[in-house]
This record gives sequence, C-alpha cells and structure tokens, in this order.
Amino acid sequence: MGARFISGAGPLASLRAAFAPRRWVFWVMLLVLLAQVALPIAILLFTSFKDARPTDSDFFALDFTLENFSRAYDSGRLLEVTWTTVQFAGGSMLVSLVLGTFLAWVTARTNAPFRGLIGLLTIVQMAVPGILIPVAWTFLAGPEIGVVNEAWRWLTSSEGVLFDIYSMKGLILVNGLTMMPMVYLFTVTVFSSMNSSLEEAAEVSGGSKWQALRHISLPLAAPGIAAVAIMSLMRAWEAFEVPWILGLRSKIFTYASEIYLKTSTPPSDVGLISTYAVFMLVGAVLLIWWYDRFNQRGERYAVISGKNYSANRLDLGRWRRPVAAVSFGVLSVAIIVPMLMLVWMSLNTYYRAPSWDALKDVGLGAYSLALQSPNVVQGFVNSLVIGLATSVAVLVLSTFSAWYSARRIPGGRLLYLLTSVPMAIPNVIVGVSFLWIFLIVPLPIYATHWALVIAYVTVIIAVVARLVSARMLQISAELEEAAQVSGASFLRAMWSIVVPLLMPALFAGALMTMVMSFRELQTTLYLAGPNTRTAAVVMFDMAGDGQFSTVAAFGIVTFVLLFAGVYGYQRLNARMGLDGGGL
Amino acid sequence: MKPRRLSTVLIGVAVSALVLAGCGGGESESESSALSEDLAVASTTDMTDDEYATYMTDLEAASKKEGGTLSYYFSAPATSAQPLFDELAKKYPWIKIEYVSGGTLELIERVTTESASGRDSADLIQGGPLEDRTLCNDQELCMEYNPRGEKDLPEDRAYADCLCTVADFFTFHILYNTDKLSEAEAPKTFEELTEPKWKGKFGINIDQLDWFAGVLAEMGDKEGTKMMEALAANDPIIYSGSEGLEKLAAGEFQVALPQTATRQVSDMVDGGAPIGVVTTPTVIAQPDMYFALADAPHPATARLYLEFLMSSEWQAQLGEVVKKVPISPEAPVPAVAQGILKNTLFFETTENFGDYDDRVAQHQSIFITG
Repeated sequence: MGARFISGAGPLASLRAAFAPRRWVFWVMLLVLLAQVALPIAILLFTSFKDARPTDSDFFALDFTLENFSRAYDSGRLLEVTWTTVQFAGGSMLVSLVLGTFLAWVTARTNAPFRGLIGLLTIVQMAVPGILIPVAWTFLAGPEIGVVNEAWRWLTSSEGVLFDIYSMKGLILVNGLTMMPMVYLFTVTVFSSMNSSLEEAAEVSGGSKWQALRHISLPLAAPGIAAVAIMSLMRAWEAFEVPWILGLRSKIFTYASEIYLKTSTPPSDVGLISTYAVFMLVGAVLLIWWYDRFNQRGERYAVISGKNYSANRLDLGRWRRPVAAVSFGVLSVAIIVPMLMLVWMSLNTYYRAPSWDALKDVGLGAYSLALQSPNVVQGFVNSLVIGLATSVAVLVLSTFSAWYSARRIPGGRLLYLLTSVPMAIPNVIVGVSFLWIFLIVPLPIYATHWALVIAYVTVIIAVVARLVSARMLQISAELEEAAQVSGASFLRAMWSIVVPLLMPALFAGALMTMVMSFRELQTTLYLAGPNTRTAAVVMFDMAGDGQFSTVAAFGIVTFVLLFAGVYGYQRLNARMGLDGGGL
Repeated sequence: MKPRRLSTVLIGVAVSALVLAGCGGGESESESSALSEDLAVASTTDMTDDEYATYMTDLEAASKKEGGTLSYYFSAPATSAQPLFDELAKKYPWIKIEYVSGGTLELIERVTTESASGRDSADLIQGGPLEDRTLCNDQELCMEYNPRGEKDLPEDRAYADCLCTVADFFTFHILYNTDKLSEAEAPKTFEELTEPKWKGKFGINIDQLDWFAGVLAEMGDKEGTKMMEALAANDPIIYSGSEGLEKLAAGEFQVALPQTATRQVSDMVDGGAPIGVVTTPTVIAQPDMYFALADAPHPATARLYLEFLMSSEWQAQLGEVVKKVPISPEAPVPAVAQGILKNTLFFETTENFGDYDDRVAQHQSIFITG
C-alpha cells in the first residue's frame, strides 16, 4: 500500500521501497517473534520426538523416537483426560463468554445505572492471585464446611448439599468466573467502538432494540467474540490452579493437572510435557485457522471509518434497574462473595466458619505478617518494572502484527500466526526453554529482569495480540490512507491515526499484561534470580509456609491496589473522552 | 491532559522500566576464589581442636574474601528459613544469603542446567532424597564435605554414604481435629484408619512421597503396599499442600495424614486452631539434607554454613527457632514433636527409598489415578 506513494522508477526507487519503514518494521517484528515464539515451539516439537534433554550431548543427534507419544497414549489416560478437558474447557468458555459479554454490553452499550462500578468490579477480579479464588470457593461451597451448603442444611433441615464445588460443574463455574474479566476486556473494547447509527437505522426501519442487538450489534462484534472464545478455550485448556485445587478430591484431571502428575520427577520429563503440548498446539492451530476466516473479510467489520460515527447508548427504559441488578447478581457470585470470604479468611489465624463467636477473635495479624514478609517490597517493585517493560514490548508487537494482518500485507498472516500459537505452549515449556537458551547463549541475561521480560512476552502476547487484533479489525484502512495521501509517513500515520484509535485496546492490553506479570509463576520459578523475585514468587513462598490467612491478606492488598489503579484509569478515561464503557 | 501527551508520558514511563530492567538483577558479583589446598578438605571430623580452630579462622577469612555471599536454593519457603538466617547473621555478620525459591522440580532443573552450561550459580541446595539421587548420585554435582559436628553422631543418624549434611529431620504424624475427636478417639496408628469407621472421614496428603516410601521401607514392600491400598480403599479425601491444615482445622475431615510436625503446625496450634498431634509407635523420619555443590562459586562460605548447621550452639536452639528436630540426639526436641522421644524412629534414606520413578508411579496409582 505504501509503495503507491513512492514516486519514480528504476533501481533507486526499488531500493527505497526495500528500506521503506513499513518493510523494515515488518522484518524487525518477524525476527523478534521468531526468537520469542518459534524458538520455544521448535524446542517443543524437537523434544517431543527425542529421548534426551537439551543439555545431553546427544540431543542434537538425528535419532528420533515416538516413545513419548507411545508413553502418553499407553498410560491409558490420554483419551479420558482429553475428554475431561474438553468438557472443562468448553464449559468454562461458555460461562465466561456469556457472562463477560453480557457485562461488557451493559457497561459499553447501555444506560444501565452504576455501569462504571460494574466494569470496575469485573476487571479487578484479575488482581486476586490465582490460587485464592478456588480456595475461597472451597470454604464457600465445599460439601461439608461450605457456607452455602451449611446455610442450605440449616434452611431445609436436611443433610443434603446444594452445590458441590468439587464436581465438574463446580470446576466449570469457578474457572469460567475467573476467565470472565479477560472476556470482558476483549468484548468491551469491541462494543465501545460500535457505531450506534447502525442500530438506530434498524430501529428507524421498525426493528426493536432487541432485534437491533441480535441482528446488528452481535454480528458486528462477532470477530471480537470469536477471538475471545478461542482465547478463553485455550486458556481453560491449560488452566492449572482450579483443576488442581478443586478437581483433585474428585480425581478430575485435566491436561494441566495430568502433566503436573506425570512430570513430578525431576529433572523435568520435557519429552512427555512436549508431547502433551503438541496435541494442544494442533488444537490451537485449528482454532486459529478457523478464526482467520473472520480476518479474511475483516473490512466488513470496520465500524471506525472516515465517516462520522456516534456511540450512543441503548436506552433500556424500564429495564435499566433490572439489568443493573442482574449485573450485580453476576458480580456477587463472581467476585463480591469470594472476596468477602477472602477478607474473612484474612482476619482469622486459621479458617473458622463465620459466626458471632468467631467474629470476636478477628484481627489484622495476617496483614502485618504479609506485609513484613521477606522481600514483599522487592517482589512488588520487580513485578512492576517487569510488567511495565513487558507491556511496552507486547503492545508494540501486538499493534504492528495486528496491522499487518488486518491490512493483508504479505507476511502479515505469518506474524498473526506467531502471535497466536504461544497460547498453546505450556508455561513450564516456556520456562524450561528459556532457561536453556539463556544459559547456553553467552550473554548475561540469565536471572536478570530482561530474562523475565523476554519470557513473559512469549507467555502473554497471544492474549493481548488477540485483543488488539479484534479492535484493529474495526478500524477502516481509509483513515491511515488519508493520512499518507496527505504526506504522512507510515510510522507517523501509525502513531497519529492508528494508535489513538487503538487506545482502549492498548490500555486494556497493558492492564492485562501488568496483571499477568504479577500473577505469572511457573515460568518465573525457572528464571528468577535472588534479586528478581516477583510478587508471585513471594506469594508462592507464603502459600507454602504459612496459613492461608497470610496469603489471603496479601491477595486483598493486591486487590485494593489494583482497584485504586483501575478506578484512577477510569477517571482518566472519562477526562480523555474515551468513554470505553466500563474499562 | 491531552490523550497524545498522556500517551507519550506513559510510554516514557514504560520505556524507563525497560531500561531499569536491563540494569537490574543478574548473577551476583562477588569475588569467588578457588580454595587453598588446606581449606579444600573433605572433612573436619578428624581434626584436633587446635587444627579445627585454625581451619575455621582461615575459612572465615576465605569467606570474607569471597564476599560472604551464599547462593542458596531451597524448595522450602523463604520465611521458614529466615530464623536460621537470622541466627547465622549473628555469628557471621558478613554472610549474605541470596536465596532462590522454587519447587523441587524447578530447582533441580536449574542446578542441572546451570552445571551443564558451565554457569554454576548455586552454592547450596536444601532438600531430601530426591535431590540426593538426582544431583549427587546421577549428576555427581555435590561437594564431599563432612563438618566437625558429624563426628559424634550415632550410626543411625550419621548418613555416611550421603554427600550431604543432615542437620535436622522431620517426623510424620497423624493430625486430628480436637473439636470433632477427643484424644482417646483419635487414631493411634495408620492401620487404624483402614477400619470401616474411618471411611471417608480422613484426608491424605499426596505431596508426602517421602512418607510413602518410608512406610514401605519400614514395613516391607508387600505389607506396606497392602496397607496403603487399604487406606486408599477407605475413601480418603485427597489433598495437596498446606491447605489441608486449614481444611482439617475447619472440619472438612476429622483426621489428616501424613503431616510433618513443623513450625506451621505449631503456629496454627498456638493461634488456637483445634489441631491435635498423634505420634505413631514407629515414626517415619525424613532427613533435611543440605547439599553444597562441588562447583559452588563460594566454596568457603558454603563450608562455613555447613559447619554452622552442625555446631552444638545451633543444634541446641534449632528445635526452638525453626521447630525441626535436631539431628544431634542430645539437643532439645520442639514441643510439637515431643512424642517421638518415647517411640521408635525410622529414617527414610536415599538407599531405602527405592527406585524413585517406581515409587512415584506406585503412589499415584494407589491414591490418585486408582
């Protein structure tokens, strides 16, 4: 596209075209992504066919074997675990998609009251350390001691159980609720850029508000919704904390918990881990191919164009308060009640069922212990620095790869694929791969912040790139074309036109990157040094040593800090005039 | 503030973070030095008092020259080892601990890979028979060093064949909820829990592979496996990690096993948790092993640390400070593990553990995968 604006003919023009910014930016992106993504995948694929570890002298010998695949299959559990994971991942995806999309629609497209608070509460759930939500649900809905079931027995004078959190339904519910913020962030940026004139046109033609929603809004949001459905399916597939903490008792094993069981003998059985990951990779590639079909007709979904557009909210009329009530009902189950349980846990030295007697013994000792824990400040600062640095890298890579892909530039689909497939790589493979790479490469990267930034980019980019990509599809190419026709360079057009229009997705992506950087543990345990311990490692120490009250206190503090951060961001959003709904 | 200016400011902050990231962390820079021949000894147990005094003076000087850094890898939480580090700092104030946390899997992976790439970072790793097998026996990465404090240990506590220092050990117990069971009602042996009255009422901690291997070594493979299968058939609630203690205190199950009697249990009991401790007639003990690495970047400091661990002054306070059982039989035992004094101790070791992969498979097939 840029080549049309380079005048002249002959070798000089060709040379200028070859070094046009659009070209060298592409090559830089490609090289970086190949190093970030292709290298761990190459190690994964190679290792799955080897009976040796990368540090063995015969690792690079060309003697391949199918023994790892045979072991995975012969255990007799592969099919069972796969089917269990399909149910778990599919169910979680549906729960998160329905609830997250609903809340995004409420905050971004309607005039429901308290929508700012609704959005805030949806997002801040991400701040709660991953281990805490399933633990909170243990004490909320465990069959013997869960508050919900105890209340049910008291109300009905029976010995029954209303809801068993250790069942497949329980796992699906909890995992779906933990993924809801991610779905929300995806879909709210899509909904917030909807051109309401399209819906108004439907109403003028005689359609009802609900018909406009069904036939206009939802189809236009389809690429974004499809993207987040794929993302949440893959994330549910490799989810570990919920299946391990809640599934163990009923012996419900998914891919992630099965990998953990099968590879508990060190050194890591990377051959077997890689084999399981190959299956995940195949699934991810299929899903990406299916999603790519939306990309091919991306211009159909462009709602942000050179024409004036408005994003008026749907007037719910008498349904305003009921919709808000339903939203808060969802949030009560998803975040409010579990947070109250965590607060209760943090105020007691050990878990006790809520009662007036127990209330007399509450105290803030756990907060004191949590905050005085060794290296808490170091952990927070490291996570902040690494999170910020990772955000820059991820957003730059995501923006350019989304642009090249959406504009169908040759090579753009390769960039798109490279930013998508990391979703299939287990974090333990990322950790082990980069551990080997950093120790073999003669550069002083190992155990530095850079090591974690590089690894985190691989871990996080798939999620953020999808978020940015979904938004990019909504931006018509004519806007930056107009800039370039007026003489702006490629980079200038990107900076002045595309980036501002992407801003809601970029901020959401930055937020997601920061939160994931704070929570990421598996990769970190392989790469963090004594001076680069992150908040997740500090919390891992706390969880392994002390009572859960200390971990709960730490989680509450993190939650409050992010609550304040996101509230500040919302205020900023409003002042900037980017009323992206609840984000 | 205009959106573009704000974006510029925010990007500036983030780029600064990138720069900071490049400046931070990294392997510690201290002056490591190869030890002189008279310090690079394999043992101080045969030294006379005068020789030992001279050796320790020279070792301290060498440690200071190294920078006093000790790169410490351990799978236990940092908080559990902090009281030990505080006592160490009182005696050797120049020693600075740089600890690397992680699970056993991650730490062994790191040490193995660092060694294979020639970039050894770890001086010392704390662990158990798994580390012994993998790092010492399979990979031959461990330093041979016997500190003086091992000199007078009885044979059953000496660990002569291990390239490790065992300064303390854990014991495995049965814990029960004192609100639900009286002391008389609580089970006294693991076998009791195979009876029908305990069906579905007890929890089993599946993290404690060492206990499983220890029981099989003590009872014999056949009898031990039979008992484990009977336990598994009695519908236990399986759990992992320290959440089991919370669930026991909350009453999700009446009994939990196996649990080590450590500071975590005693802190919960001190905090009012309704937890009682049963010591079985034969107590399975897991040694707490400290491995100095052969290519440690700070070999003098690593040796000094091992000498400290086995010193009589640390052994005397170890039970109270970190609530573990000192390896020295004369040293006081913490209150929570007092029961072991009247009972028989059986130490699980690398030798009696059995083949590790087989034990893992066996343990999982009995309790987890069925």
